[in-house]
Amino acid sequence: MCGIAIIAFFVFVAIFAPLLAPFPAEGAGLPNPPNKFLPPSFVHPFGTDYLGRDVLSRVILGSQISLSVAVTVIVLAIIIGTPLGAIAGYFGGKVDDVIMRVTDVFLSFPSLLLAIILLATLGPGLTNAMISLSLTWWPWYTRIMRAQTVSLRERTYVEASKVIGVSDFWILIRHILPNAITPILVQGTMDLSSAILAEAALSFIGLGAQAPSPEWGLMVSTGRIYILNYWWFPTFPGLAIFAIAVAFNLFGDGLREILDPKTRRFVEG
Amino acid sequence: MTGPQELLDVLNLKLLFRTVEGTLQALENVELHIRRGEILGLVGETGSGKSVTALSILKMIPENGRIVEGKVLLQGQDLLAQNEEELRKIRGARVSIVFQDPSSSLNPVYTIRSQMRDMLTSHQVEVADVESRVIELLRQVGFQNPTRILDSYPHELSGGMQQRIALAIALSCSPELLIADEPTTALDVVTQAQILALLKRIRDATGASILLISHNLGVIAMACDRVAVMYAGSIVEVGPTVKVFRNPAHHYTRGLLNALPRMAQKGSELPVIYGSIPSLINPPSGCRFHPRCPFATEICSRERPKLEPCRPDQLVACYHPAGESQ
Amino acid sequence: MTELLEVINLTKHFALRSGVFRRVGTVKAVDGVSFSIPPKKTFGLAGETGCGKTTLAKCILRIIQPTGGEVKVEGKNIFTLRGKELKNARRNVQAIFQNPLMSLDPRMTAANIIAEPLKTHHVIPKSKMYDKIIELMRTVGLDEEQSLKYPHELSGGQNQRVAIARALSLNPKLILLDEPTSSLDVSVQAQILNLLTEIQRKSGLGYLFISHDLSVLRYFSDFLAIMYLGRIVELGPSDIVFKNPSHPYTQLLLSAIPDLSVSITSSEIKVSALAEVLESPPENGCKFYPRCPVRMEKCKTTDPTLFQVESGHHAACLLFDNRPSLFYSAPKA
Repeated sequence: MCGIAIIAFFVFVAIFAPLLAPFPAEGAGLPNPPNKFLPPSFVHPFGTDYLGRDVLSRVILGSQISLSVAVTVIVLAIIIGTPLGAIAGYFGGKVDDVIMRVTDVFLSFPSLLLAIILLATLGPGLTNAMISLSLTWWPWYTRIMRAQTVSLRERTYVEASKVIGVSDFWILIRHILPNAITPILVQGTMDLSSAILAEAALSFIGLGAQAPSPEWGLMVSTGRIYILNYWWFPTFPGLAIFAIAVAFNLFGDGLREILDPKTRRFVEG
Repeated sequence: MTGPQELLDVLNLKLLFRTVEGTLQALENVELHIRRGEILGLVGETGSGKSVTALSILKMIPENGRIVEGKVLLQGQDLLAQNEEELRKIRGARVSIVFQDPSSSLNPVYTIRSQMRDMLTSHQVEVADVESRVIELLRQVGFQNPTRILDSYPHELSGGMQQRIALAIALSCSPELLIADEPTTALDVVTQAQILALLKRIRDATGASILLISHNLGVIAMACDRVAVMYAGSIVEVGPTVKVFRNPAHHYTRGLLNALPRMAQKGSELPVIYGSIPSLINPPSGCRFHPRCPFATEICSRERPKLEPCRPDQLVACYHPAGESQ
Repeated sequence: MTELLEVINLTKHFALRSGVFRRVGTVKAVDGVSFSIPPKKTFGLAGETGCGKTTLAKCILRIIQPTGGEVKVEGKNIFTLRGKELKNARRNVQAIFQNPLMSLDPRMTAANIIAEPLKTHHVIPKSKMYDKIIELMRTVGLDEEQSLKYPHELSGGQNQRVAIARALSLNPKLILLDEPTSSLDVSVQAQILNLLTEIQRKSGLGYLFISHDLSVLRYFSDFLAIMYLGRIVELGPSDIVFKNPSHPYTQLLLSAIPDLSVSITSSEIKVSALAEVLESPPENGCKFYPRCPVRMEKCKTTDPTLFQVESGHHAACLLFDNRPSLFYSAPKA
């Protein structure tokens, strides 16, 4: 429940970022040299950075990036991974073998390393970072979907549909997918939190967002060396990353509890 | 009250469940008397409360349930008033229970031998005697070659065999009362007949009483001396099985027996009880069967009828019990 | 007159494998089953767990492929059909399963469940769809307001009615019912059986009724086949089979079901005599040999086919081996 509140807050901020940021231009990157390194004050609650830009505005605008990147990455991963898992699970045999071997290959790499390799090939940048992350993430959803499909395809209502004459395609879309989607959604929301962290990590090492983007990971990275003297400008973006990651985690937990029928009441004579 | 004949008396048992949709009145004024050495059947459909009655006897009801009234007297001792420690001594030793699914009462990773030994040692039987007692128990439940069975794992045995082992475990401490909750529902017809014959043999050999719970009237007919019929949380009729089934006094029992296709002619319509089983969250007032009963009058909807004697051996909870005819 | 359904020497073997490659044996789930169903009649199939009736049902419904044999619906072998022809043929044979809650998609409303066959075969234009659904629901005794309910919001009996409405939507000629009332209360069972009888009377369709409950089969079916370990061991008009059970297995089954006016009697002795079966059936002999109270020497070496006990009534027992035998049967109405 908490999670939803925090997320809602962040989403709101992200949507209305340009309106909320007190210094939108600086938020986007416009330098303001005379204001360098101002500590937190009433005018600049989060202080200013090494180029004099208002950190609060930067953080607010950065929320747009973090959220949209996280959502895009996970949605893409789900779109790629789920159908593959459903096909593998439903048809079995050679199709299953081929798909799962490919999945295994991807999964055998440490994910961030794989993302870095892909990015190195594609070249740094936010869009490429999103693509690489999606490409490292899809196998997890294939695995989940395949397991779900294998157990669902034996269900009586699937047999009933075959007897009616429903084609395999429609059985997958109408019966298997809706009943298998819950674990995927739960995993997806929990992964949102990891996606934010992964993307921040990539930007931190310089392969993701590039200056002057107000991306949080990038801000932490550039601010690192100033942590002792001008602590505010790596710290606040860092806190933002932390807060949103926790929020998505709580949300995922809550979602799982609501969707799990075992936590519901019942009794029969 | 508990006479010399009675082993277990359930008096005035009232059980409520807390649910999302409201308070479920699962058991209302349940009264049951089990005599020594008898096999009493408890029959009812979904929502009748028969399984929950069995669990209440052993005070094994789920978290959200509460017994708000009533006593369960085992030879005068009120089980509901005992604490957990006392109850643990009674469960398994004086009152035992066997459930519908044998594979869930047997642990799949232990051999039969170790599971039976566990049962015996937890109730302080001498270790030296354990092996011979185990073999004796297995013979008692019909295994001609017990040593073969001892080293097996549950999944290597058929459903009927698993259920017999579950019975052996339940009997290991010579309980005075064995509760069998739908013990044959998951079994084939032939195996079912074997298990029911076995229950009778056990009763004859040990003198234990058996409370046999089932929704299947045929099972009750085959194995029980007396039967208690439950509907929507109360007992509506009690009596010797043959008499109750030949000449039921309560209209629900009558309806149930008529709905069976046993003697009906092919193509003819089976008589059906009007209406459906009521919700127990908002049960009907007075007699819970009255909305479905063709003989209901005003008092039936006002006040719940109590179990009263009607024919020489039968008790019925009805203001207008069916006549002696038919 | 063409039989509605003809099953000819149907076989389904499952391979038992140890590890990935080694084939260590075969389970003959269905081992040469033949029978036929005339139109508008009810054919009952009885047997205990493991007799093969469920596998047989799945073969007839083409959910699994048989190893051998034919199944003809109105004269056409359904295993030779492909693609669009197969899809069309499915309209003739529909099914109702044992557990109504599991045979309905928990995420679909009753209306959508009933509509699925109609949509799949494009039978009705969209505009008329809703009316057709309501009409079907009325036929099975459901109200319009239940069309928006989900399976978990309906009772077992109501769910089974939804399943029946779904099965009727394509106007099939034959409905295969696999233990349709076994998981329902007695009073609900009576309602559903009445409904099925009425539907058969009005639309003249045939039923293949699979059940382990002989008293229901006695009431409901015109013909009866008893299955044991993948074979039919007795076959004939159901009242004749009940009056004169000829195969020892049929006699055993009948002795195990109660007559509700008495407690268990002589049947007790017969049943407990077969308490533990440790032998496996002989390679070339009768499968029932280990449990048969009247077995003979020749039963160890000869596998009986269906012999005629009387006209239209057959049993696979060597007690009758001096009678004419049947290769596949068409019970005479």
